Amino acid sequence: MSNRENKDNEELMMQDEMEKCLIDVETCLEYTYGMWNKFDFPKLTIAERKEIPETIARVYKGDYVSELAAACQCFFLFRKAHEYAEGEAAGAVLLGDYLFSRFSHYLIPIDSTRLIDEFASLLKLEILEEMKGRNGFDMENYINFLYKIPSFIAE
Amino acid sequence: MNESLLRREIKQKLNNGMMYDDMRRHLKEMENNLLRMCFSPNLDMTSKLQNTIGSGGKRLRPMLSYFCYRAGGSRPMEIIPLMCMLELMHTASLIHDDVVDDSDQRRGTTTINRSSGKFAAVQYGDFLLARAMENLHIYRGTGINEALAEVSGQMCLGEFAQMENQFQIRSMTQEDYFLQIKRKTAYLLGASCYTGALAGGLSKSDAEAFKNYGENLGIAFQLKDDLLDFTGSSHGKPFCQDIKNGIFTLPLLYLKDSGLPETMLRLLEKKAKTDKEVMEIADYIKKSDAVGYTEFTLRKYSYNAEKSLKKIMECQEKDALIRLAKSMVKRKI
Repeated sequence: MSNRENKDNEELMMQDEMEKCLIDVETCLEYTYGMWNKFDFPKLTIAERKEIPETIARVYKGDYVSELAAACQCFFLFRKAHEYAEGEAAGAVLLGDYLFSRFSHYLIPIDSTRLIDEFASLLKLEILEEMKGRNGFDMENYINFLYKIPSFIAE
Repeated sequence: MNESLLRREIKQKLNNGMMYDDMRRHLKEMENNLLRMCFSPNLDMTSKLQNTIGSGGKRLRPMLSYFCYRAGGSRPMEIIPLMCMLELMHTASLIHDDVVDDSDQRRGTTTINRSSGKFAAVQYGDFLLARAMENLHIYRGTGINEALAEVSGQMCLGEFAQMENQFQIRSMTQEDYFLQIKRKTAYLLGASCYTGALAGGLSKSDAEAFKNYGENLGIAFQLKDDLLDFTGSSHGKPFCQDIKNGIFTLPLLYLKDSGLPETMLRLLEKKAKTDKEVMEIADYIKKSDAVGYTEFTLRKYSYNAEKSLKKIMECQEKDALIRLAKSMVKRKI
């Protein structure tokens, strides 16, 4: 097989893994996405549903890939829901809290002390930045954080 | 919840000064840790969270976890971090509940959502959750973290159910009510006992027994609290808040199953009730056999809590927990 064919095969395998991961996360979060749609929040775009699971599938090759992707997606949605607390406060707060519990649920089996600590630090930093008046969740910062996850878990 | 009465009951009834002194020391250490955990570069958040933590909560969940921990002889793990996690989870949920309910006051002080705004209150509650996460590594592989994650999800589902059932007197059932209070209240008390028992080195089957105790106790507490809402509470909480907010508890659901007049059903469904209408509903309940039925149900769960500990080896901690369960039924409503 030529180098180009190898590269094409690798790319196809990667896309296959990303798609499987996305499907797993969609299945895990089916109930949660249903609840999100019940409230009067801006609907999640396809990019918002895909970007995080696909990033995890791309960067992390260890055990519990789908669980890790689900945890990361739940963390993002938890922060996003709580941003809407000024408007539809009841739904925003409760859904956000539920998403935090699901984030914890998926994070725990990965069994990485460093990862838990890094998420705790990220959450505190996010909160402090929000209170300083930053407008909305910093997705670019979060994606950069996701790229570091394999190194956190490896420790 | 009738926690102040319970706490006084424990104080009076405990005949082993050393156990009580030990518990008090642990609670004090927990409180000092919690106050330190509130520190952040944001001054408003630090002061509001410290005020909330220090505002006189009864520490029932950490207290239960401590008793169950102490009942285990080996005590292989630390208990203070677990007590902190339970109290952080509970406090965060109270701060968020105040946002959901748009409450003005809690424990006699202005709520964070009223003094700093809804958005800030939500973020401050999340900060406590971040602090709780920092203790997770201590209990890796023990089942404790899994239990806490599960119960936090159940609490949210209970709140969702309450929101959906608000003012829905015609469709809500007693089963809905019990599931709601289990999720909102009883499961966390059960998890407090369960996780404390695991940290104390008890077997999974003994920890399950303590969990059943906590869940039954939690249901009994909530039933007592719900009765006090319309018979007159001694906690400084406003009277008949549940009726005003369209939250239907066991007395009303029992009466509905027995057959409520159409006029009463329409009154219950009404979203903006006058004080006179609220009193009319409260009087209707008090004159019926609903109070007696609810008291009987309360006794049932209190007794179930006691029975849950039947196979646990005799010890002063078990005695204290049984006295706690019995104390729920001693005072006439």
